[in-house]
Amino acid sequence: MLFDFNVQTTIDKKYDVCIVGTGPAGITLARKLSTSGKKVVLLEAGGLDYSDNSQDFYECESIGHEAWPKFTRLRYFGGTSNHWSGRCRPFDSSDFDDREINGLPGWPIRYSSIKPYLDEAMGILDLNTEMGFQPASDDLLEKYFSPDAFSKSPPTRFKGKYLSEIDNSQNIDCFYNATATDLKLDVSHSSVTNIQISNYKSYKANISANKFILCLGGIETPRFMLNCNSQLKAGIGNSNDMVGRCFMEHLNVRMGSFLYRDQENLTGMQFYSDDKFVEKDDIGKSNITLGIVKKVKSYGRTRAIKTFFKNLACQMEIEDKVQFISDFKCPGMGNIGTLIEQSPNLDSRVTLSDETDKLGLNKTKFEWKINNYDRKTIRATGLAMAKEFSNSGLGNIRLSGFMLDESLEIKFGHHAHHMGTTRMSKYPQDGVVDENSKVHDLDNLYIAGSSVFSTGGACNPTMPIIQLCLRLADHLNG
Amino acid sequence: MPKLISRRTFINTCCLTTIVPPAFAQKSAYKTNPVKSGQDKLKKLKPIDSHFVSVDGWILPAKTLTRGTV
Repeated sequence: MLFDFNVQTTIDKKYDVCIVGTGPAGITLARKLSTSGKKVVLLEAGGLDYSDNSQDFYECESIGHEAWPKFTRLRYFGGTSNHWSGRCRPFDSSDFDDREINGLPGWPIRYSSIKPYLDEAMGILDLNTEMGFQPASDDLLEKYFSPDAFSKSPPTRFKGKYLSEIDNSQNIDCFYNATATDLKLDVSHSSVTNIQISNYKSYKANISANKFILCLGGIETPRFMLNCNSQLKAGIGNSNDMVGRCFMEHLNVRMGSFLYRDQENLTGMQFYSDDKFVEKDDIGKSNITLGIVKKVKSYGRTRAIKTFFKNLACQMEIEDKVQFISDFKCPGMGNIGTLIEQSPNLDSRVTLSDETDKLGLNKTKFEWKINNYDRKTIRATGLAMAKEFSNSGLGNIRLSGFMLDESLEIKFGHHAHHMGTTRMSKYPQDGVVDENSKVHDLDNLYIAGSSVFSTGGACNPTMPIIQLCLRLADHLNG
Repeated sequence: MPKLISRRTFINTCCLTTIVPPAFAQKSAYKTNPVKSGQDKLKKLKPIDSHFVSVDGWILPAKTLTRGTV
């Protein structure tokens, strides 16, 4: 059943499981647990539809590299599935190899732990299990890279697909406009007894449950845990100061451009770094996308001209403007885009700002940083691709200045993949949750979503999130 | 009052002008003497390893330099 917590403010049941967040992780867990008979309360801070009022709660203080955290997430029923692109690629077995990076261990589980949930996850995301994951291009390169294989979800909008099912469910009570504001612990601080929620009128209520699962994403989950400081000053689950650390994105680096020899075949290409190359150079994984310009007209020469004139009275120096125009791409040329693995790094983190939101919770202070390991990954990957491209007779690559000159700062963007801030680890000093996604410090608090990723590979996170949620549901169902 | 120039004509004129600028694209190239210009070009050539060189960012097989063609 669906309840608007701005209207229905009486909650007197005790639930088996309380799930916070209605994105892909929260909805998957709620459905899976409810079908096995569990009484579930599902909480959504936003409404059933987008509103600026709700989205404004995602305002962050950003002091690191910009990743636009207000706009890359959505705060209403269905969460960020309401605007995701649908690209799905499973983790590789090697992503779960026992490997230390920056002094931190990788995943404490093996790929075999989540592989059994692949088909079910594909079904949830409306992927064709018979087709599987198809290579995006031919095997054109000799070594270091293989064609990347992925599948495209329609993309599945969890609100559209599952809202009525949840509304009709006898075992799920879903309260929307209900922001989680605090977790209350027992006397020994070893278990969560109830969760405090607030509506937009600041009316508060407490909900009791046997188990609690946070599914708030890679930024909001640590923010909430750090804000739960009424009983523990450092926040909940943070006895080792690991909550919010190791924020990882997938790095979108404009490595440069290329000239493609085969003028008859102007299909784009996508490659994925081979495990041997990654191991040999001790770097992260990567997806390299080579988009080829087919027609000058469709590429938007006029748009560039307009931009040129728009900039004429603005920031660019005249020589830069001339360079800008000279960089027009002709058919057969193209740009290189990437989705590169960022390593877990203690200094890339989410903490709390001194500013508070309308409900009195401290806002996120967001500090996204890459380190020298990531810089090595970016430069080694680009150079290897450029050599391979040439060796294979495909054409030639021109790398951006920062790719070859280490004194220059690397320019990179994000992919709206927020990972690692409550990472999974065997030992409490290396992360926030254990092998079963349970918070190390507490008996009945779990976390689901990409915040538990120990490392992020170079694949889109939604499908692995679903696989891990299905695994967690099986664990909680005993 | 009739339009002196249409939006399409204006854009097309701008497009045609873009054929010329690559010749002027290198910063300050027209301000330097030929010897200095040649030195600048050499600065843009960097060896990567025994098989590859970088020429103004283009990663090229070293052998193409001796052959004189890409």
